[in-house]
Amino acid sequence: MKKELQPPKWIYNILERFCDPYLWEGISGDLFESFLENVETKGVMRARLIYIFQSLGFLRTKFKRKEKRLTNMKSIWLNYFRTSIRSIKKQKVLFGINLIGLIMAISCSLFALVYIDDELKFDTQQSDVDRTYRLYKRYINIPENVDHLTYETSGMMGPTMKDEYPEVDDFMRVCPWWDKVIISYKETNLNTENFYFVDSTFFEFFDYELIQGDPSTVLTVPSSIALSESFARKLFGDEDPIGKTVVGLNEIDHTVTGIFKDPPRHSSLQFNALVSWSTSVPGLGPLRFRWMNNWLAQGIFTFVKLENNADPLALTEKLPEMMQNHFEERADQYFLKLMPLKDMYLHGDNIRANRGMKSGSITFVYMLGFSAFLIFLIASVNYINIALSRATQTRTEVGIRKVMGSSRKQLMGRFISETFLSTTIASILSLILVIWFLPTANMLSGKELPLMAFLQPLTLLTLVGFIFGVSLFVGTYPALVLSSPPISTILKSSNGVVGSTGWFRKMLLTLQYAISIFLIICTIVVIRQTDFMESKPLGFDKEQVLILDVGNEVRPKVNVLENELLSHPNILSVSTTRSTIGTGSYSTTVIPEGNNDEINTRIFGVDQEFFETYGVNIVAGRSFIKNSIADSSNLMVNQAMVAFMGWEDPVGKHIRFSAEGNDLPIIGVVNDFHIHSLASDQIEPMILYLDVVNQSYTSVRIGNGDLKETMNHVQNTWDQLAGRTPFNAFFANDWFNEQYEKERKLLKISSIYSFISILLCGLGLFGLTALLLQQRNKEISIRKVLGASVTSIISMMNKQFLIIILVSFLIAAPLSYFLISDWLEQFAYQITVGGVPFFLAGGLTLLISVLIVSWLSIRSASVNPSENLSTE
Amino acid sequence: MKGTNLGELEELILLATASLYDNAYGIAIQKEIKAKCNRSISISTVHAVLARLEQKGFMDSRYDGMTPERGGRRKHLFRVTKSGQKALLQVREQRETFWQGIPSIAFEK
Repeated sequence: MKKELQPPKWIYNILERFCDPYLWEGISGDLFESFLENVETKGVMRARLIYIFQSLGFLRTKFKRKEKRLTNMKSIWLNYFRTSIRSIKKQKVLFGINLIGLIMAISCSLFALVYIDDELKFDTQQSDVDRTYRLYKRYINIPENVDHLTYETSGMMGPTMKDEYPEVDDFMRVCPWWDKVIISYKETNLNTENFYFVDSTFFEFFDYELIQGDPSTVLTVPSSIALSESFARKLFGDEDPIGKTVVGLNEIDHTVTGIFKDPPRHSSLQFNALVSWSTSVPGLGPLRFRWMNNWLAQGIFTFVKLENNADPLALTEKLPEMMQNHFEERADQYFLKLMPLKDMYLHGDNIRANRGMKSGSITFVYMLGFSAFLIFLIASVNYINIALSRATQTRTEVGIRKVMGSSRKQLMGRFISETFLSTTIASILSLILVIWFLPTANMLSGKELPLMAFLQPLTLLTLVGFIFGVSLFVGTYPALVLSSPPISTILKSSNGVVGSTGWFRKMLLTLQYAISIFLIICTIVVIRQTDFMESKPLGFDKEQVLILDVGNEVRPKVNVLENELLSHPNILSVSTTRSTIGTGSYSTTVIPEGNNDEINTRIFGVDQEFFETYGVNIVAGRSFIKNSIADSSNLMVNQAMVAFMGWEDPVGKHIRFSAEGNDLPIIGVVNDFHIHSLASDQIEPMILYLDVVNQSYTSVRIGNGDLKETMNHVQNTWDQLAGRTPFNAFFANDWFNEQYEKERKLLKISSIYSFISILLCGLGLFGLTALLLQQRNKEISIRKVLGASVTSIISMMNKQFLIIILVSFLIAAPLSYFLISDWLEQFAYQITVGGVPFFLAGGLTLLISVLIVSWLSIRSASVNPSENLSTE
Repeated sequence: MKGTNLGELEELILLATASLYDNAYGIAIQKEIKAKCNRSISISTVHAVLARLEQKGFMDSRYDGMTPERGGRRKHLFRVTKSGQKALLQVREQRETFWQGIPSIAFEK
């Protein structure tokens, strides 16, 4: 028979399973006969269709297979369910341990899942996300020992790429301003957090929604500004903002031409004011920022949109050629690359200068997911271990069920249904718990996950997935083991361990402990590193130093400000400098005495009061003298500079700023002090010079008096001098602490995870020991009767766990050492790992375990032996 | 007596089965009814009614007659039983009684 002449097999199979076997031959025969006839008259296709419809007609109870076996299945399952509830009730402590474990595991996983899902959503809502890229570069400068990735590009790169390469469809330049910009309208002055210069095609390039204004022209005219909905409401209240004039950066008047919807939460670009790029172009706009529009300056960000199907790699390969043609002097230092827009948020961790944009960290995402998985493993192990240990208790039940004719499959169903019950309860409680702790979790992780993220279909589906997945994954193995013993062994003896599960249980326990020790070691190292960075002496006194951003308005009156501030008894010293802690710094090339080549150093302009204000020590020579004109051509250096040059006696040595420049003498040496985050920057050789012209930041050393009252004085002084510039000040130590935000976030999360892991391990051990003791209580009683002491019983119980902990320590220590060394690599200043974290983690685990086991053993050993032995 | 009441479809199928005698199986019955009454009954309905009639005892069945058109399957052949015959006769008599009692004037012209 030809193959085409077969009716559809699938429906045939379904029907065959469904129909009563006696009727089936007649039915299938009739169907086939009618099918063949239809093939003749109506063609194969229609015949098949008819066959399917006819078959469907047979799906009625009249033809259903009548199975006697099925009839009492319902009551059997009901019975399983009831037995499960009973066994849960009987073992409240064990059930509690399992439940806590499952709740922890499911909560952690659920949170991690929602968090990761949320992180992955960033920037994906842009319609052209697949062909939009962000330009970044690798900056290699061998003499200066520079090799890093940075987002900084020049203003000419975007336009040139569009002009010269047909596959570049469009470009977009974005220049987020470095600090807050004040926007003023009439009497209202507001700080914008994120003030961007953007090309006129911004609203066409990206999908951000413009509420008022024409997307194609809104940012064309110089001095145009578009504001976010919420910002405009704060600035204008109920007035219509369009066409109004506001004062912005550098006191320039801007005309409001558009209002846009606040950027969505899932957007890396976060801005509340957009200014037209033409504003900055010399000859066009009032700002004349040449550095935003030439090749040399590297301060702006560039996005490009490629044609459909264009290969970004092929384009990247052409970019050195563009650099060679237009910017030859940097062609061997800047290597341009393209970062897909959708990866920008998570994968830009190691690319510098991502100012004014939100970013996540793929490392953190991995860590979160991995930790959740580990917790999950620990909880699963607890569950399996405890379930296996209960074998002796369930064997009677299994035996009787088997005698009554229950099959292995059914018995497995009995045990899986118990797991199912626990998991369902745990899942529901987890959801409640996670939602309950959402504000805390948000605070810890620095994210704003909305409540709705936990009630979306994905989350709820996952929860259902958890229930079934865990029930099968965790429940199957114990079910297999528990249902395995042959009837004869069950009914013969009333003791002994089922199957050869002893070694398996020990393996699981080892795994569990290894995970826990691993997490604790990592946490301890993170704690120590963060603590090290926060407490390492910085070379100056970081406490009680307030730094004020003077701004353009107060700059001319900075002497008045200083004097006014000093008039307060609790203000000990005031210094005004071009840059200071937390405000960036400058570098230059110099030719020091005894060196023929230029070297790269930090250069730091200070006034005479700087050293006193910051408590920086002069270690050799002298400091700058107040009102000394001669000192304006004298220099000071830091110890790193001395060490770098290998000078024996640095005072009196000379430094030149260029080959033709004057020799400037060194009059003093200061101790090394940090001006950057300890996480990212080493102390570099530094030259200090007297600069009382460029004054941008006023640093105030506050004494130990009433801080609040002093702050009021500073604030009042500011308000008297400043009209429209808001008070903008921060403490030096706060700034340093902010630098370690990322580490602190990691610290919090890893602490929580390791706490949960040790808690779960402890609980698991508790349950397991309790069960073991229960099974062996006769043995223990007999030992006691024969003269064993409580101590010997305790050591007997502890011995087996000690070996397990030792083995897991041996597994966890090297693994965590590798991970930790890798993590520490990124820090400019890092702790040496040493033995402490390992001993601490191992010791802690050991201590907790010994305490648990001993306590339970004492409790069980102190029972009067007659109580245990009198029953049989 | 509820059991002996025949539905209209049941009656048709009983009649078709009887008239086909030794070759009364699903498809044949379906075709017979199509030919005689021009009614399309789905094959599953035919089978359902056959099964019901067998349950009521109006029919019995056997398997016989393997043919290649049926992919080597035997036919499920039905035959009207004595009580089936009785039921059919009863229906017929009931109707006859009615027909005889109707005055010719009852139908409008």
